[in-house]
Formats: sequence, C-alpha cells, structure tokens
Amino acid sequence: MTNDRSEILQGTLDLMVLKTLEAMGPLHGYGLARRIEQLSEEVLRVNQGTIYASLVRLLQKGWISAEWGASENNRKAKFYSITRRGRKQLTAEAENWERVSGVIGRLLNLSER
Amino acid sequence: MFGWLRIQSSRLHGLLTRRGIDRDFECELEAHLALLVDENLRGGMTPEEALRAARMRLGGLTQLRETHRALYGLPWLEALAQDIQYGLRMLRMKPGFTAVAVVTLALGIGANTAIFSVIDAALLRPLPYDRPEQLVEISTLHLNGNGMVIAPDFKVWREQSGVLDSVGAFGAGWNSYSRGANLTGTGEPAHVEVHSITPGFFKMLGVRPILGREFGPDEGRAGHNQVALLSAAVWRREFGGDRNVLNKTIHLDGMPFTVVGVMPAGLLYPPGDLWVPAVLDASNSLPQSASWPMLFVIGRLKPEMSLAKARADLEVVTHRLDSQFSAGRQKGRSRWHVEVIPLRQLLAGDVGHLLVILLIAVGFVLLIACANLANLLLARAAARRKEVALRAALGARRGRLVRQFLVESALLAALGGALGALIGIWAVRAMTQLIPPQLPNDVGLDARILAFVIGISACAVMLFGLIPALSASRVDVSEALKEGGERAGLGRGTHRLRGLLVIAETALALILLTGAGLLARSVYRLTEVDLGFDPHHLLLGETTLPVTLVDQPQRQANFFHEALDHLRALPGVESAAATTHPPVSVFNSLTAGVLVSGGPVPEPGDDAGRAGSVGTSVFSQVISTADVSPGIFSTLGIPLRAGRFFNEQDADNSRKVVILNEAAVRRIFAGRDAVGHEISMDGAKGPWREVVGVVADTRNYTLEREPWPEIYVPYEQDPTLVMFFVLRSKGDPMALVGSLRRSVASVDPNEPVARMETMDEHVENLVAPSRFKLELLGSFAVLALLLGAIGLYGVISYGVSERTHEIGVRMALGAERGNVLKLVMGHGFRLTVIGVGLGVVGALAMTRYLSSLLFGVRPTDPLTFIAVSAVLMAVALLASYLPARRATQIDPMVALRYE
Repeated sequence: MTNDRSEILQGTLDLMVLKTLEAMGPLHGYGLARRIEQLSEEVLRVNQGTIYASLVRLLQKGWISAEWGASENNRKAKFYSITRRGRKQLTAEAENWERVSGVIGRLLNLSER
Repeated sequence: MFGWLRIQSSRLHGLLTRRGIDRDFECELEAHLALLVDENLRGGMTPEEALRAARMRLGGLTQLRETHRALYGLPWLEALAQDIQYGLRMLRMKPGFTAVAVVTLALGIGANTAIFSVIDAALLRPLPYDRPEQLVEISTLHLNGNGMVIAPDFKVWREQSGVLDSVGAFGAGWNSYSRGANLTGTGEPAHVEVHSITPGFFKMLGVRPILGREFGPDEGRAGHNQVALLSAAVWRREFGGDRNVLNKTIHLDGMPFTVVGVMPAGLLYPPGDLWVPAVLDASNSLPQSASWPMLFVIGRLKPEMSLAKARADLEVVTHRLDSQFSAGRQKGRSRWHVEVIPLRQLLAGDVGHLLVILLIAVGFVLLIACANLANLLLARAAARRKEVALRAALGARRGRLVRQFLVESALLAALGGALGALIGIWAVRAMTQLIPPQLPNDVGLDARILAFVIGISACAVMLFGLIPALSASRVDVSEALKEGGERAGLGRGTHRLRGLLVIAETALALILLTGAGLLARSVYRLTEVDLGFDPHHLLLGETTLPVTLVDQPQRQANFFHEALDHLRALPGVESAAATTHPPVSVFNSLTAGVLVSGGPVPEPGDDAGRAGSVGTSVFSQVISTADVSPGIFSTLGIPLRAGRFFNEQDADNSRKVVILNEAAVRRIFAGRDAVGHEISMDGAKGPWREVVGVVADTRNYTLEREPWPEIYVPYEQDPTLVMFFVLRSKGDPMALVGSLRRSVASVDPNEPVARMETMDEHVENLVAPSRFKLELLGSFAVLALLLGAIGLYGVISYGVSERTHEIGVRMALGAERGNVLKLVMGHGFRLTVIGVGLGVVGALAMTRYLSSLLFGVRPTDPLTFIAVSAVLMAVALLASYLPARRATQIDPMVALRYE
C-alpha cells in the first residue's frame, strides 16, 4: 500500500468518525463502526477494527476524548466523544471537503459532456 | 509544528506506558467482539459461527494490535535504537577497523580541539573587565608594538574629547627612569615591578580592589602621591596575605608609601606588582613642559561609539594642541596620527593570524582523516554488499539503509570525538604559550569547546559517512545476490571516488608540508643571521640604581666604574663592559631629531613616507641611543670601521664624543664621512658631541630586523641609573654568575643583579617562538603525511586483494615479478603525482599567507617545494610498495583456485 492512497483513506475515515461523533454523541468502537457502515450504505466496507487506528489518531490530535463506561451488554467499553477542538476542525474540514468535492464534481461533469 | 509536537509527546507517553495501553486495547477489542457476537447470535447463528463471523468483521487481531502499537510508539526512535544496537555490534565485530577509524578521527578532532581552545582563550572569551567591548587603547605613535603617548596628549583627550566615557593611563615605570624598585619594610628586600597609574584607572576597567580602595583624584597631585596599591601576588608573597597591610608604610627604593588597597588575583593587565599614582600636572604635562612622561592610554568609549568616529574626534582634539608646541616639534606633530584599537586587539596582538593559519592546518588534518575514513568505509561497504542486498530484498527502503550506514558513521564520530576531546585537552597544555601573556590562559573544557567538538564531529560524519552510505545503499539486489557475494568488488565509480580521495589527501598533505618546510627554512635562516658581534662566551646582567640617586650623576658613574674595575679583575673574565642597550633587545632610549653642526637640519618626519605602515613611519625617523662603557665594542666583538673606539679619557670633564654605527651614518650623513662632525641629540642648545668613530652594524633590535641606526655615548658623559653588565668569559659564561653578583655587591651590598643570562641563551630565546611555530605546524604536517600514506596504502592494498585473480592469471601467463610490481605501484604513483601537482598549485596559492611568519625565505621558495614534493613522493612510493610486494608473492595456483 503506498502512502498517498492510505492517507486519503485515513483522512476520509477520520472525517466520518468525527462527523458521526458530532451527530450521535458519545459512542464506543462497535457503535461507531455500525453507524458508519449504515451511513456509507456498505460502500465503504472495511474491517471494523480499522476504526481503532482512526480513533488513536484523533485522540493524539486532541480532537476527541475517551472515557470508560458500560456497554449495552454490560461490558467495560471505551466511549468516545468529540472535543471543542474537534468540532472546530470538523467545520473547517467540512468546508474544505465541500469545496473540493464541488470542484471535482464540476470537473467530472465537464468531462462527461 | 505544535500539532506535531503534541502527537510526538503523546506517542512518547504511549511508549513509556505501553503495557497499560496494550491492556486497555485488549479490553476494548474484547468488548467489541462481544457486541458483534451478540449481534450475530440475534441473527440466529450458532455460538461457534457467531464468534467466527465476528472475528472476520473485526479483522485480524494480530494486525490490529500491531497497528495500534505502532501508533502509540515513536517508530523512528525505535528504529534508531535498533540501528544503534546493530551499528555497535558491527563495530565490535571489527575491532581492528574500529580502532583505526576512531584513532584517526580522534587525532584530527583532537588537533582541532586544541587549536580551538587556544582561539577560545585568546580571541573569543570576553576579557575579564566590565563591558570589555567598550575598552580601547589610544596611541599616537607606535614603538616596539606598543603605542606610547606623551602626557599633554593624554590630558587633552581626558579634558576635551566627547567620545570617551572615561580614560586612564599608566607609565612604563613608576618614574621616568625605571620600573624596577627595591621593596623594603616587609622583611627581606624584594625586587618588584612598579608602574604609575592615573587615579580611577581600575574603576574604568571595572576591577575593584579586594581590600581597601583605589587611588582618589587627590592622590594624583604632587605631595599627595605617596600611596601604593598591591597586586594580589605581591600581597601574598611579601605580606603573607595579611589583611592588616592597609595603611602600613612600605619603602620603594627607600621612599615611603602608604598601602591603600590590594587588587584581585588574576589581574594580568595593566602590568605591575605594585602601582603608585601618576602625577600629571603643569610641570610635566603641558606642551611647554621641558619633558613629558610617556604613557599607555586606555579609554572607555561611550556606548555605541564606533572606532572610526572616536579616531576622528581624538585626531581633531590632538591637533588642537599643535600650535602650543615649540616650532621644531610642530612640524613632526602635524603628521601624527591617532590610533584607536580595541583592547582585545592590543592584548591579543597579532596572534590571531597565526591561530587562523594553525586552524587551517588542523582543518586539513581533519579533512585528511575524514577522507581516510571515507575510504575505509567504502572498502567495507563493498564487503557488505551482500548484507545490504539481502536487507534491500527483505524490504528495507534506501533511506533506511543510508540511515543505517550513517548511524554507524555517527557512532565512529562520537567515539572519535570523545577521544579527540581528551587528546585536545591534553595537547592544548603544550600550546598555552600561544596565548598572549596578558590574557588568562586557563584552557579547559567549556561549553563553547564542547559545542565545537560536537559540531566538528557532526561535520566529520557528513564528510566521511555520507558518500559511503549513498554508494553502499545503491545496490542492484539481483546482481549482488547472484554474483556470489564476497568477490563482488567495488564498482568503477567507487574506485574512481577512492582514487580522488587519495589525490585530495596527498594534495592537502603537500600544502601542509610546504608550510612546515618554509618555516623550517626560516628557523634555519634565523639561526644563521650574521649578528655583527660574537655572541658566544658572553654573560649579561642588569643592575638598577635606586631612583633616589637620580640627581647625583657622579655617584651613578662611580658605581658602574668601580663595579667594572672589580669585574675586569675576576679570574675567568677576559673583558667586562656595560651598556644601556645590549644587542638584539628592545631599545632603551630613542631620539627623534639629531642635529648636525653646520649641516642641514634633518627634519623629523622627513622620511615618514618611506616605511609602509602608519606604525613604522614615525618609528623610522628615530635613532636609538645607548650609553656604554669604553670597552663595550671589544667585549662584544664589534669591529671599528673608521676613527677610534672610546677610551678612559672620554670622561665627564673632557670633550663630549659619540660613536655611530654604519646605519646611523647612512641615516644622518647619507653615507658621507662622519668622523670629525659634531651632532646634537638634544636640540640646538646642545650639548654638541663630536663623532670620533664609526663601528659595524649589529642586529641591535631583533634578529629579523635590519640593523637600526644607533648612537653610542660614553656613560661617564651621560650617567644613568640602569645598565647591563657584559662579561666576556674565557670558559663557560655561566660559571661567572656567582662572581658577577658578588662583585657588584662588593660595591654596594644593596644592589642585586637581575635578568642574568648568556647571550647564547638570549639569542636562542629569540629564535624559540619561531621554532615553536615550526614544531606545531611541523607536527600537523607529519600527521597529515602519515594519514595520507595510510590512505594510499589502504587503497593500493585493497586494489591488490581485489585483483588477486587477475594478477594470478598474468603471472601464470608468464608476467615477471617486476611487471607486477610496476603494475601495482604505477597505480599509486599516478595518484600521487596528480596529488602532488594539485598540492603544489594549492601551496603556491596559500603559502603567501605565511609571509609574516617567514624570515629570509620567499613563500614560493623553489628548493622547499622540490624537497617537500620529493619527501612526499618517497613516502607514497613506500606506501604502495608494501602492498605491491605482497602482490608479487601471489601464488598463481592459489589465486586461480580462489575463483
């Protein structure tokens, strides 16, 4: 796997995790993975485990925080929630994303014509 | 940047708390898995199926753990630690290689550290005064390298200049006659050096007494000046460090002084064991005064004041005084310049130039050491090609391979640097005499030197490590692995690179050797200088009469007369004489204007334009005068050229006479016959003195300088307080030391004889600094030569071992041993010739910077160049002969089987 591709994938996944946490509030790893699977309509089907790499990265950047809690089946699980800095980052990223996807969309439409 | 730091610190934290994090992650994965299993069970799977499906959804547990772990570590740090471990193992496995590399590097770094320590002490470390960058020396006239100033100029600067915060001065002695004094009132009488100093001088420097106080302004007035400041050394030596010394009365040449303070230890400037106030008043510091004290002037510039601005301002202020001087002086003064130099420059002198030359020399040594190491590493890289190829095949990226090699080089540099610092600290002790005496010479490891060592080691890694690393990591995996490993030698490019390194080493070594060769020739020339007198079997000793006798010239003359009578009568003494200025020494007194009776009056400053620099143009007008006893010429062995020598009839009450040396005849009489003419050194009023003789020139100032014009006066016609006795011995002059002292004491028991030495010693001491420079540069050059030879040896020997097969074939086909020898040595010879050629060009370009250190030899001296090239060629041939001889002993059968 080359670096470039993995970076784009990582970035996309990180953004999805942030957005999900913002929308849903605190979630544990399983919950997050399920939610992203549903949202992406199984398009972005990856091993659920990959979510943890993303979570570590976001934790290290200080965009999310983690807390131990009890899961639905009463197991010890880590719950993640978005931080203030994370929200700020998400706004910035989202704008950036829209701009880039707009440009790319126009570009693709153009070439189709 | 901050984001990067936060991530790195969080990772570092993770590295340190890894176990807890691993446990947490296990726990988290378990919870996740359990939730997936629950989901699958709800979907109707059997427990086994549910677990298996859950594992698949989550992904490979081992891989997840690895990824997680990697995110929580510092991968580069761990890889580096791995590289270091691996590198250390490699170095341990090849102890011979490691030792050679480390020692080579340590020699290079050690030499640099030592020279840098001297530079640090002489040029970089701040002077031990308050805000030293503002302190300057101000002078109007340069003499013997020291700028001395007449009192009127000092006073006008102090009173009228706007560029100085404060200014102070000290005299060459404590009165107009001497700086030596007999200190009594402390028990044993002691000879001390005393200087007069203006009140406030130490305050200006920012140096406070450790006891008592400095002189107050009042104490600079006649009648109030019987006070003294002690140096810490004298306080300890003569007063046992007694704190009750304050307000005690001591005696200098019998005159009472009250001790008012003690200065701190380690005060190397201004000079002196003891200081008394300088009295500058209407009697001695107005332009109209009959004579003026000569002073050294130190000033503190106002903050932000530039040297140029200060110079300009002081120049204007100085020339404001001109019109107040007598007409005869005005003309000379109009050409005076004011020089303002930083105090650092005064104290360090021109040592900076020498140090830069030495720094370049040790820089070359280090470059050669690095080239050698690069060569060794290149050869080793060839031997490790298989290992590298294997690692590349297993997925190591090129960057990682380069890093591995660089880490090994850095380890070598670290070891070499540590050992080099030790060598440097040891070696610098032999070099402290390079540090000017007025500067603190405690050399040791300080932060600056440590930084230098680390910096230079890092540079060395870049120099010797990068090329082999890049070359070694550029492997064609399949080729290297296919080729059967060990025999796969270096590529053509690498061979050429190694050749280039050897050429560079040879060229650098040749440049250093040439420099050392030129210095060696200079030292030889210096010892071969025709002194103009016979220096062997001569003993010198200085006697200073107490200043209280200053107004009794008859008693002064009587003392020396009587002492000479005693000395002449000594067994073992062939002849005895006295002079105020022995040959090859600093002038005792100089006169600026000599008048010739009836002739044109020579204008002081007439030949101001003749000499090159500002410093010597003033100097070039002045003529040395010496008071001598009649027998001085025969005692020293100076031949007569015209007229007659002095004799006992040239006494106080007879006609006043002088003898000139030939240089003085050239200067004053333009080479015409001088005998019979009358001259005056003291203006038109005289006394007029008849020239009765002309004697041959001597090297009267330094060994290097051409003979200087000198006028000799019989001491009985111009008595003086300080004279040197000169004894010509029948046997060993040192045998006369005791009897010289006793004879003088028999005239006056209070008169010691100071500075006793033979003329041979005196001359040798003058050669010693040049000899020392030669020894330093010479040892660096020899080091360079040895390292260069080792480098060449390494390349040729490796070439031989690589060509064993080829040589075997040639010999099997009937090549003679001589042919093989020629084949192998030819390679070394070619490299050396190119190196010598480049080195000669480099040396031609560089040796002119040595000019100021050379004497009697041009920087392009062909003989030196040829000799040095020959030496280098000989060493190079030997270095390639050894491996070549090994090549001739190759057994063709063995070599061919080697395949």
